Amino acid sequence: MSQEKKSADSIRVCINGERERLDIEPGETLMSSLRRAGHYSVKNGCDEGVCGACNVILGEEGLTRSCLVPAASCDGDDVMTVEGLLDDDGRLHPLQEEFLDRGAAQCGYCIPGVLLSGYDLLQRDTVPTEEAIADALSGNICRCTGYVQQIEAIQAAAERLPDAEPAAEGEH
Amino acid sequence: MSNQLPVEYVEAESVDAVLELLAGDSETRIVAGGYSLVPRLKDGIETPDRLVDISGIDALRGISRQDGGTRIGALTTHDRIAASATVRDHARALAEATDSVGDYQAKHQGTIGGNLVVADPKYDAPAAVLALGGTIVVRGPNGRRRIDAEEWFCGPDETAIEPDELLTEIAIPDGARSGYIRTSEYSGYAIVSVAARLETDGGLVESARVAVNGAKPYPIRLPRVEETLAGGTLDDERRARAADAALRDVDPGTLVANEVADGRHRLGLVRSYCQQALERASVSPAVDS
Repeated sequence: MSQEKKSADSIRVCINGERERLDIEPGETLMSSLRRAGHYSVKNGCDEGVCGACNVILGEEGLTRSCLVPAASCDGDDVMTVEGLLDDDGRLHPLQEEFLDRGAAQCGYCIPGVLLSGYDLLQRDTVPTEEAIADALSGNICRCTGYVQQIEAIQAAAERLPDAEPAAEGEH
Repeated sequence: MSNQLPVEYVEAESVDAVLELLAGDSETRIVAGGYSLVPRLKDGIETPDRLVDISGIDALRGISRQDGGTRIGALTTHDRIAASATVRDHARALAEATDSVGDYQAKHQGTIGGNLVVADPKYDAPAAVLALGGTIVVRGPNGRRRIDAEEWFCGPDETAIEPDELLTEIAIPDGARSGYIRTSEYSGYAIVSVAARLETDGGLVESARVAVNGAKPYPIRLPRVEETLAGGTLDDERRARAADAALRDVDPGTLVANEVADGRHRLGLVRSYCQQALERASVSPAVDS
């Protein structure tokens, strides 16, 4: 929130830890700017703030629908897309492995947004109940799976992650 | 997919800076969470020349106790309001309304100020603020203006704010039981929502305020329902009679009708949810004023 700025033609962002300069067209949203720069995992589902396919994790604001965010407002921000879930060696995150193992993804269109909703939840709540997971997915529309496997996958991933159990519960 | 928002975008650092921008020639809209405004821009419902982003003005955020009531800054998000012990203890209907908001992101990003400025029939906070007798505070070129919720919601797509004014906070008075309930469509928006506020003395209702959103294009009070309740006891029979009175409070000719629910359906929902809101308010804890 530094000084005023008007109609900048580019913004500096840090996407999944990599600094990047994003060109922005006047009046465009973060979703549109990210996709033009090749970040195609940020899906354009409904383009009106309902489906959650364009979810990103935006700095301190946390989980956000990028189709509702003016790109110009993101200068200096950290942006996490689903690629940010991979570890340094490019291995899948436990959330992603559980989604694969449990058939929680079918057509896949909604999945980047769903995974980020799950990831955001696990940052806030390391031992989420089924109800908390359903609530966290309330802003994602999936037309294929019926959500059941997604909820189970998030719960299973939570159990695998460190800090999921009280510290006294033994080794890991 | 580009050029859906105005070309000019400004981040404002203070309320004074916002007022200066609003006083200019450009047609300006305020953006905070973006959940009300941006979809309207994309649909072409509004076509301003300039966006002024107020999300960095921290003075507009937060919940506090003030003058025998609760003060909520315009930028406070629904999830913060829903989680606030202060709001739960002193303005329960608003806690319940903000807790009902659509989905996680909308709750986490959407602000009470944006919700009240747009005051869509699908929104949750309007009926609660109206039933609770809230005051909406705006600042403009001539200083501060305090507007009763009743005068605030004044027509379809219309609130009492002037184009050169900024909503800065809302104030909710203490001293009543209250409750809120709604029925929602698949997207998580409300179809019909009802909030009730009851001043009670023992089992007796001294006065009642009941408001509905989603019946008419803007939230309204239900005077016949309120009259039926005043001076009576809070029993099932009285609540049922009060809910029946709702049918006479809503002019069938002006009911909202769309692809989600037609007018007749909405009228049935008003009665049913009126009764449920009264039940919730009657079992809610009494507030010491």
